[in-house]
Amino acid sequence: MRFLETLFRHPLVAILPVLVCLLVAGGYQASQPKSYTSTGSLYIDATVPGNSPTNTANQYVDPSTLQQSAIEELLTTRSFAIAVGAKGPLAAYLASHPRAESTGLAAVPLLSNLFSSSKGSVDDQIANNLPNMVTVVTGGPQVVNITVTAPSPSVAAGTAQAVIDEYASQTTAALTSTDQVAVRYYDQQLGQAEATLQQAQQQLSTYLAAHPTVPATGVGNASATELAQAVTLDTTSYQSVLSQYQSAELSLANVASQTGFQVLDAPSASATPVSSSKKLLETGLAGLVVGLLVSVLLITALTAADRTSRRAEDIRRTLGLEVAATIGRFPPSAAGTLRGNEL
Amino acid sequence: MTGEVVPSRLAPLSALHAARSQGSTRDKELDDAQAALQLVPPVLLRGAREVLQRIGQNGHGTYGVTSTVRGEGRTSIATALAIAEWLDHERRVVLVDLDLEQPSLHERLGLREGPGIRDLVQGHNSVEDYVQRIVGDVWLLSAGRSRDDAPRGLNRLAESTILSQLSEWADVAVFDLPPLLESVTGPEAARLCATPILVVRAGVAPMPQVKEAVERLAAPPPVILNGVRSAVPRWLRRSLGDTR
Repeated sequence: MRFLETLFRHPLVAILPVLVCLLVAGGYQASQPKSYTSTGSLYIDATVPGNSPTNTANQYVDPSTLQQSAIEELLTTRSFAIAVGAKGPLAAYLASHPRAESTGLAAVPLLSNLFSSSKGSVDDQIANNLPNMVTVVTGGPQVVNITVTAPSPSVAAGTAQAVIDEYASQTTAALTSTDQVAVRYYDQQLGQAEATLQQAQQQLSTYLAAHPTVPATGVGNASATELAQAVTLDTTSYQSVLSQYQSAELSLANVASQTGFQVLDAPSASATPVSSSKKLLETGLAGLVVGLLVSVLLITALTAADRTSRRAEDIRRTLGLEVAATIGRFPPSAAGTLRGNEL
Repeated sequence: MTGEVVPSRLAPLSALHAARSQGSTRDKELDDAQAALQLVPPVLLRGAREVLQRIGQNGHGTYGVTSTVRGEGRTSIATALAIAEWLDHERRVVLVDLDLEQPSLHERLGLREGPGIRDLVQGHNSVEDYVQRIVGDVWLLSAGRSRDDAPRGLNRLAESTILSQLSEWADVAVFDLPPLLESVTGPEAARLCATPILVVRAGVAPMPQVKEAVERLAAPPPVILNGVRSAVPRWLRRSLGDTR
């Protein structure tokens, strides 16, 4: 009851923080620059070994979910973000708009100084803001949508395309690296097989030269037969290694087509800005909650600070005395000669 | 006088208004009662009657109205007690300003500053010569004009026969006492009256100070909580179970 008394005695203390917080929230939201989105859709090829659910620990994970996780993970890395910025228009945009950041904090100078990273380099800004600008969601088991929110339509579309390109580039680089290792390995194996085969052929030739009566097939001669079989075996081995080598080379040559996804919808620039009503509602609600909290804290503090008696219960509780009479407040004009009970 | 309504001093306020509205001839008593009712607001008079009922003193008595600090309504309540005693019981009441440091009762009642207690304690005069009529049979003994310091004045009062003279001359003496914590003579002045009443004004003195003031009195006093007004709307208080 004392809390309520304080609340109704100081209504401004309760109302003002709420109003101020709502105004600040509204002002902050109103000062935000317009934002535009651009979305690109990828089709994930489930037949590519890397996208196959059977290759994962959880066989129920969709190929699109695997790719979504991979893209989101890459977005958190500085090198990927900087590469995206460099490939798309984001780096140039931030360089030409030093205080423009996707978070919009630059609109409020104080907040900008407190929370933004605008004092850092363009690379820092990209690394800090790109994960907040990009949203990766699955559109189904094999579709991934990449949406970029940016201060201009061209930056949004360019950055979305850059994310896709950089992701493809990263995937290609990884596959190229793997294939190069395979090619090098099979090349080495092929060299060894070739040397072994040549050695076997040399031994057979030497033996046949020393024994002209023995036919080239070695039939009828145990040693010649053994040498001929060794040549046949080494030839088979050589051809097998050659086949694998050629397969690895082919894979390396076609690595660009083995990224595991195709671009279904390329990102396009939309001239319509994102609706701010939802953001306004969210910011307003946040302002309301903060304002109410501040009000409650202030009223609680005022209640705790008021150590005077307000009701007969206060006298009874603190002094242990019964109140003989309670006299209500009356206006000074209610008295005649007396100027009310002000003194 | 036939057909005229001449209410007695015990008549309720509505009867007085009825008599007035009928254009009856006013006698002295009616005029005095009307004047007395104009001196104190009804809410204050109700509070004074409630206190008197609780204290339950009949006939002779001395009340002292004190407070923790200044500004809690001592003077108004002392006046209301005096008026209530006269209006309800037809007693002769003397209202004594014992706040010798900052006397204000005479000013509040529109009467002369003196002569009063300070002058009385210096001579061998009779109380009757120093009282001023407020209204009806309610009289004022002001603090007086003497520049004597308050503690010494109070000591002389305690040593004199003035208090016994007051008891003999009036049925009831109501003392407007100095505050207990803001006046050096507060506790000493409170000891001069049989029933000190403590006025606590809502929202003025912190409770620890009120507690300290109570401890300076010889016995736990009756308490009047003055200036109470809830800021919470009545409907909300009722819905929370507060029926007052």
